[in-house]
Parts: sequence; C-alpha cells; structure tokens
Amino acid sequence: MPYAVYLILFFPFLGFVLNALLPLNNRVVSLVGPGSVLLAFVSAAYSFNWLHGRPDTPLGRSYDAVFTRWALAGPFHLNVGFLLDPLSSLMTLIITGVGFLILVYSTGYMRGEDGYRRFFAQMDLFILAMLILVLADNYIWLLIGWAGVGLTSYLLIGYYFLRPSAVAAARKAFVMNVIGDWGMMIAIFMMFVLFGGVDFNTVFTKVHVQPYDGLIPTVLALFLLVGAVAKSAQIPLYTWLPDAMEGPTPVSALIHAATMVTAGVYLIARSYPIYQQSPFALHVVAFIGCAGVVFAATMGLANNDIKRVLAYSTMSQIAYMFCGVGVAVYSAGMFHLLEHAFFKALLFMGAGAVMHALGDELDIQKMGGLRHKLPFVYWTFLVGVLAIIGTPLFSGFFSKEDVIGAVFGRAQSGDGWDWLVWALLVIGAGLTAIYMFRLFFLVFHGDPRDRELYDHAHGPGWSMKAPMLVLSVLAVIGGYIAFPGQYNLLDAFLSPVFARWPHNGPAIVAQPFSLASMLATLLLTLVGFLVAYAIYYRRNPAPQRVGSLAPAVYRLLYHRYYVDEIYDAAFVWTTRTFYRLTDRFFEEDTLDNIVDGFGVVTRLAGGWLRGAQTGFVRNYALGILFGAVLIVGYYVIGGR
Amino acid sequence: MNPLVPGADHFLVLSAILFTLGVIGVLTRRDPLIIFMSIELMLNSVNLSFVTFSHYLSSADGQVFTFIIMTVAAAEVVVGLALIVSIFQSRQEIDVDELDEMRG
Repeated sequence: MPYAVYLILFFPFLGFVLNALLPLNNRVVSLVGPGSVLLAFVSAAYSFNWLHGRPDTPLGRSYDAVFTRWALAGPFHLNVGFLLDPLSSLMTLIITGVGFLILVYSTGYMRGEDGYRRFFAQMDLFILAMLILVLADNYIWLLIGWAGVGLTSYLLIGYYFLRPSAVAAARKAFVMNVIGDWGMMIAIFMMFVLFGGVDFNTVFTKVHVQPYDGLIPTVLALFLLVGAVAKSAQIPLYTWLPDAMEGPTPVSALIHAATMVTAGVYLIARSYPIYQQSPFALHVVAFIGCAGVVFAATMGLANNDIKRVLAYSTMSQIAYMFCGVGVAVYSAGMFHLLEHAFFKALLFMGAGAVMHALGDELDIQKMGGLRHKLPFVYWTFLVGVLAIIGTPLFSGFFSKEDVIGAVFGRAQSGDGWDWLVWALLVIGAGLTAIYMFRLFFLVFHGDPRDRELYDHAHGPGWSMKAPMLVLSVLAVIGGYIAFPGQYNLLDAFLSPVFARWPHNGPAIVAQPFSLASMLATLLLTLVGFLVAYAIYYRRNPAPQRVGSLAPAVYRLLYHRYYVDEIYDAAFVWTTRTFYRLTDRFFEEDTLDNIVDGFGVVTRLAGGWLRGAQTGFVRNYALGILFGAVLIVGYYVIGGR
Repeated sequence: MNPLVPGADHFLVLSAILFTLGVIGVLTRRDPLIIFMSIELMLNSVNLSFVTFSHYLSSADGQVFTFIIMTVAAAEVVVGLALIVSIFQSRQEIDVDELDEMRG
C-alpha cells in the first residue's frame, strides 16, 4: 500500500504538533519524540519493502503519490506530491532510522536541560522537513524542505540562546544557507522559464533532450550546486559547520553529520539528469569534493575541540561523497552517505558521552586516559574511528573504496585531472587516519591531563548506551551490502533510478575493479595510523615538537587557513564599512539635510506670512471686504 | 427713472446705501456692540435687495432667502452677544482693538 508514504511524513508531524503545542511533561515528551520517529521508520521500512516488491524497472520502482494539486496558473500546475523511489526510500530509512537512535540518545543526553520539550519539538520538525526534502517530487517542495531543515538547524544551533557564541553561530549558519537557497531559487526560476514546470519529471524529460555539454544544463547544475555546497558545508561555504557545533551534541550528530549536511549529495544524485548533461558541472563537483577532502582533513589535524575535529571530518567525508557523485557514480556517493550516517552519528554520540562525563569540556588537550573511566565509550568510539578511516571489513572501508574505486576507474578513461582527484582522495584517506587517531589517542589514552575533570568523569546511562551499541553494530556490518569487485546490492537497488534518463554523452566504459587503487588507499591509511600512533600514543616524537617543526604550517592549520578572518575582512568588514560610510555621508549629510530643509523652508515661509495675522479685528474685516469687492468686481467687469 | 414713482432702482440704491453704512460702521467703530449692529444693518440691506428682486421678478425665492437670513441673524445674535458678554466678564473692557491675542 503506497499510502505508507504519507504516514512517513505524518508521524513526525504529529510528534512535532504534540510536543510543540501541548504542555506535556518530560516523560511523555521522551515517549512522543522518539516514538513518532520510530513509527515513521516503520512506515519507511514498509514503503521500502513495498517498493522492493515492484517490478525492477525505472517506472516500476517509482511511485508518485500526489496528495493534492497545489498551485494552478494557466498551463502551469504544481502538485503536493511525494516521490517514492529507491533513492528517496533509502534516504527516508537513513533519516528516520538514525534519527530515531539519536532521539533515544537525546532522552539521556538532554535530561535536565531547560527547554527539553522545545528540543524534541524542533527535532521532530527537523525530521519532517528533511523527509519533505527527500520525498518531494518537485523542486518547489524540495526547496520547502530545504529551507525547513535550514530553519530547524538554525533553531537547534541556537538552542542555548543565552550564549552569545551559539546565537552568532546560528546566524552564521542561516546566512550561509540562505546563499545556497538563493542559488536553488535561481535554478528553479530558470526551470520554470525554460521548461514550463518544476516537477522532476518535466524538468528531467526536457533537460534530457538539451544538447549535451550545453549552456542550459551547465548553468542549471551550477546554480543547484550553490545550494548543495552551502547545505553540505563544502568549499567555499563551509565555515558555518564548525561553528554549528555550538548546538547540543545530538543535534550535531543528526543534523550536522548524519542527515542535513548530506542533503547536497542527495540533491546532486536526485538531479543527475541535469548533471550528466554537463561534464563541466560534474568536474566542478568533483574538484570541490577532492579539494574539500584534503582541506578539511588538514584543518582537523590541528584543532583541539573534540566536536570541531569531527565537524571537519564530516566536511571531509561529505567531500568524498561529492567526488563519488562528481564522477557520475551516484550510487557510490549515496553508499558513503549511508555508512557515514552510521559511523559519524556514532562518533558524535561518543563525543557527547565524553562531554557529558567531563561536564561539557570540549578541549581534547585537557582529556586523556578516559579509556579506564569510560570503557563502553572507548570501544564504541574505536569502532567508529576504525570505520571512518576505512579499516578493512568495517563499513567505511567498503563505501570509501566504492568512491575511490569509482574515481580511479574514471581516471583511467578520462583526462589527467581525474588522477588529481584520485590522488587527493587517497591522501585524504591517510590524513583521516592521522586526525581521527590523534583525537582518539588524546581523548582515551595517555595520562589524564586534567586530574579534576578525570576524577569526576562518569559513564553514560543506558538510554545513551543502547543507540551507541546499535550504531556500532551498523558501523561494522553496514558495509556488507557491497564488496569491492564482487557485488554491490546498493548499486543494484538504486540502478532503476539512474537508468530512467540514460547518459547522453560519450559512452562510459565500465572499469573493472582495481586492486591497485585499494592497496594505495590502505597503504596511506596505515601510514597515517602509524604517524598518529608514534606522535600521540608513543609520544616519540612528542606532539609539541611536531608542531614546532614547521611553526608556520602549524599556525596556518591551527587558525584554519585564516579563512574565517578572510571572510570577515572580505564580506563582513566591507559590508559594515559600506554601511558606516553611507550612514555618515548619505544618511547624515544628504538625507538629514533634505529632511531638515523642509523644516527650514516651512519656518521661513511662516515667518514671512505671520505678518498678515495682525490681531486687529477690523483689519480682518477690511480683508473680507476687499475679498468681497474683488469677487464682485470680477463678475461685474470681466466675468460672465 | 422717474424720481417720483418708486421702482426697483430706488430700493436697490437704498439697499446699497444701507450696506455701505454697515461696512463703514464695522470698519471704523471699536465698540463690539456697534459693530454688531452694523453687521445687522448689512444683513438687512441684503434682505431688502432680496425682497426687491423677489417682487420685480415675480419669484418667491428671494422671500425664502430673507426668512433664512433673518433666522440665521437671530441665531448669530445669540452667539455673538454671549461671546461679548463673556469677554467683558473676563477682561472688564471690550475694545476690539485690544482683543489681539491671535496676533502672529
């Protein structure tokens, strides 16, 4: 029964309404918040199963549930419609599944916080908006969901709204996301003007017959990319993501790691008929991706904030997904998206548990030796770390191998630039191993660097442990839906989506699985691990000495390449200065003088006219007489 | 115009003379009561010309106007006298040239 699609959306909506409007007590909220998402997950699983039973053809595996006709204007019409196909079904499973686990975790993590009900209401609203985003069958509703997740992200980053830094971070995220929304809106306007419709079917059918490598698909793809880059925190609109860590940790796990930030990857995969028409736009995606992988990873090397290291790691991993979709192997990007949702949510939960134990301490320089105090967190975090660096037989290995292998295959038949992309991805894998194990060793190994924090550390409760346990299992076995060179269930499942509008350009030669690429990745990962092991576990050479080897480089990384400062100077400072100058010269010198001028003229005219008001009654009488004489004279002499 | 037989001209000239007298009275006197009387004189001179035209044009319109003017004049006297009395009560003198609070 395809109506389960509506139920996927209905339950989070119900949860949001109940939590937002009714004065429920915290125990009921703890039930309604995760419960509604669990029901949505059940509906999503039911829809998935229904879809799976349908004929394995592009049209068979796609169901467009039209809820109602929404906007009618002449020949143009727009539906409130929800498209259930393998791509959206996969996304709903990720969102509701991981979302449910994180909400369960939140019931433990947020216990005793002010605004407990507000938190769950906003989380439910986020899940609703995210589901609208992925289920929409047209770009307008996609944009509504897109803006909705931006709004809830803003609200939840600013959850501790009494903290000025949280408010500033929320505002920054919102402004940067609106830049992306602007790009999407331009793209949608273009679709409306060029194709006369904004639903996927119309747009893709019409874009498919556009000339290959033509102007229209390229411009459309690039404007959509602006949205994708802003939402997915890629170069150059990424600086909001590290700051977004001001929100509660479950928010970071759900919104700023597992789901919302991956929406850009979903957008590109969903809009593949546009992107595959434009090899230029795909190259831009891949370059943004491969640059982001290394750029973000290097910033993660020198950061001392446990959540920000994970934020840079998120940016780096999403950059991998961008590379996957950037070489038109969309299922590889989606595969990494799926696995990343598991292990990154797990890592954030681990970071949250550490913070919880240490009284919200974020500085990894003050941690250390926590494996004795938090054995459960230690082991689950280790699973997450092993998964993210791509240790063989952990989930990250399969998905990252899928992406890097896809790029490698493309490089063999493509131009030389693809080799650069591949090389940066492999280097990124090595850097991932360094910064993740640096984080791991600094937090859990060695001697406690802050005795007081260490002594007061306490382990998480079961409501936090259980989701971490489930995610650890998924972070291990989640990758077995594909095995390099053998089988790829996800690719097979998603293939009907990407077969609907076949590639127009030069045929893509499928490259066989290459062991060389895999070995290179594993080798660099191993080297990365050994470097981190030597510096941060054996402390030989000592971490301080590594930093002082190249102080300029260390400072550059520590200050995140000064990008925030550059943006401040280039945009914030220039805007402020511009307005200060207009305030000084336009407002004060020009506008104020004009307004004052009206007053001066009025006063002068009044001073001149007041002489007529003599105060003598007989003067007025004389005036009346003259007036009467004039009127009468007019009629007597000249008038008709 | 035969000076011995009264015609429309005689009445209109008389009306004009009365009106002019009223105007002179308003403009030259400083006692508000006299000014008031002069205004009444002007109103009545107009009444006279209305009645004259009414008679010679064989139309009742002028007579209707006359009654309206008389009614308005009566009402105006009430208001005007009340003002004069209250001004006198508050200032103990009613020279209109001294009433110049509204001078600009």
